[in-house]
Amino acid sequence: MQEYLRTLYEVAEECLRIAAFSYASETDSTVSDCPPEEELLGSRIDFAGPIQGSISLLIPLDLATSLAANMTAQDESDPDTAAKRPDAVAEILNMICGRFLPRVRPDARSFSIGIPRSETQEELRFDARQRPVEGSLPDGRLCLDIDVEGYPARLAITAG
Amino acid sequence: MAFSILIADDSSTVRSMVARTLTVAGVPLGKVFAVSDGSEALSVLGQNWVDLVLLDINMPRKDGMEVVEAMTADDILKTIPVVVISSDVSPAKIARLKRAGVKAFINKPFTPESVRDTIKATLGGWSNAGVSPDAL
Repeated sequence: MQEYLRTLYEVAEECLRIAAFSYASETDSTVSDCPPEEELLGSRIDFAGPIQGSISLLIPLDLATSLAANMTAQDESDPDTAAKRPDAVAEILNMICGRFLPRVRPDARSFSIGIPRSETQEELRFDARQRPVEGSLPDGRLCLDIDVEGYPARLAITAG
Repeated sequence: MAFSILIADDSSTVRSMVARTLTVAGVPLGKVFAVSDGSEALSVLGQNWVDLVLLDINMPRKDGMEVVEAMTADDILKTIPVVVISSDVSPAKIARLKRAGVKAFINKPFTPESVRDTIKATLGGWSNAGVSPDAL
């Protein structure tokens, strides 16, 4: 399972760079370091097939604004950019999931990838408070904390 | 020559990205229709001539596969080329879509170059007279 994290990082870096012109790097900081009042955005996708589980993405709202602006070529101050934030986050996660699964299971003929769903602020804050130990969260999910353009971002997966 | 293109994707972000990429890629555009599900896509196709369909697979209210099958079953719509733009391009799905008549596939995330090259190959090319190659 630990090799999943390396692949997840490579895929996330590609998707963020190509789709949102945003650069990701490995980091020691995490979304757990965000102030409690900072708003977060997140999305989760379930998948099934030769491996099944879920993948989630959790980021600060300001990063979501930046991603949405870059993906749509709109100004960050444009109200339509703010409206597109949840969809942009969901779509980035959709791309990551779509690339990740065939990379970790190149022998698989097909996966079933669900529709991304948004998470509540309560769920997001609970997730953000969890600190990973050696790449794993207390609930057993694998966790990848990365830096995206100076913001922390967290990807978490369960897969088996 | 300007092409009328239908973009079908349930993500408003992706619809914006595809439309912008078509412009950046230098595709000569006429009308661009953008819809969020398969039912809307078929409705647009029933009322407008379209030269190319750019289609996501996982959509509500008729997914991409259902749209392709409906087009294949129609004597006029089956002549319109379909390019699938999706994050899910597993071999089994690609094979099924090819059998249904899909011309090409673009994997998300996509670059303007990949969109341009795929659409050019699908439509048989176009003239960019007056457009600087540097713009591409």
